[in-house]
Amino acid sequence: MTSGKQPPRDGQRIPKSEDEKPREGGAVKEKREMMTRQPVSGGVESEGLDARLQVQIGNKLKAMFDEVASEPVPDKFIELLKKLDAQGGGGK
Amino acid sequence: MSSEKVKQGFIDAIPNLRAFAVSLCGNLERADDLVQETMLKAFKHIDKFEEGTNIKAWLFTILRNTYFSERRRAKREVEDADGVHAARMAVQPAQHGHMDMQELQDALKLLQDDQREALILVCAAGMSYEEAAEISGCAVGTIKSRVNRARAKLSSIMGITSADDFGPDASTEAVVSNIVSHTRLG
Repeated sequence: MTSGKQPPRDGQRIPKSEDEKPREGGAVKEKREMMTRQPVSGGVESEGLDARLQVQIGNKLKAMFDEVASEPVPDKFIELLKKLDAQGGGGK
Repeated sequence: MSSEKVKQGFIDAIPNLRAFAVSLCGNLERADDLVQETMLKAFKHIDKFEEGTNIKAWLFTILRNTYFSERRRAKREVEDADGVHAARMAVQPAQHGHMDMQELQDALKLLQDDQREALILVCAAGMSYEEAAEISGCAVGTIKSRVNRARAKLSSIMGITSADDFGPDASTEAVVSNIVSHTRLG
């Protein structure tokens, strides 16, 4: 939505290695890269960083964590603890 | 050997340990294995725990050490069997139902291990920078910069995957970054 989404133009390190073979640079590749691509530069911090996106990601991270953290302790762990306790901790 | 208080501390910490483990490895089943291993190790070394100190942080530390040492080992094995790794990545089950969460977990996997860990501890588990530093065994400043880098990376990954304005410039650059990330990850 916002216009601050310019790709960083200085940060891109174009590989000069032989990895840059342009063999299969077609549509197939383009599809794949949508899944796997990573930002190139390490200096993206301040630019193009939508604050709303940050908040959204923060909320998602918390939601992911809390979803599991709010589940009751599975019985298997209670039983394991009992068993370990009966064996007398620090031993063995 | 273990006082009631410590035992209770263990039980209280389990939900958070599970959540931490899932966030790290992206798989509930594996997460529970990690929690179980953590419990076993914690009991074995319970004499090393100083009562009155932060039991949650102590258990988190055991869990992340277990996870990262397994991961290092697995990585070595994967180098021998590349296809297995690819298969495992592809069959990642949608643990939490929502598409959203899957997207987040996929994005998390693209982060460096140390950055992902810092982000999860601080932003998901709500740990202080100090606690996170203690758990990861590094300086507070290191945690801060890891969190910042992880945030930046994550938001550019997730911002891009959900953006509709995928102009020609962006896709040209995508090809470049794809190559770069392949060389890096490969």
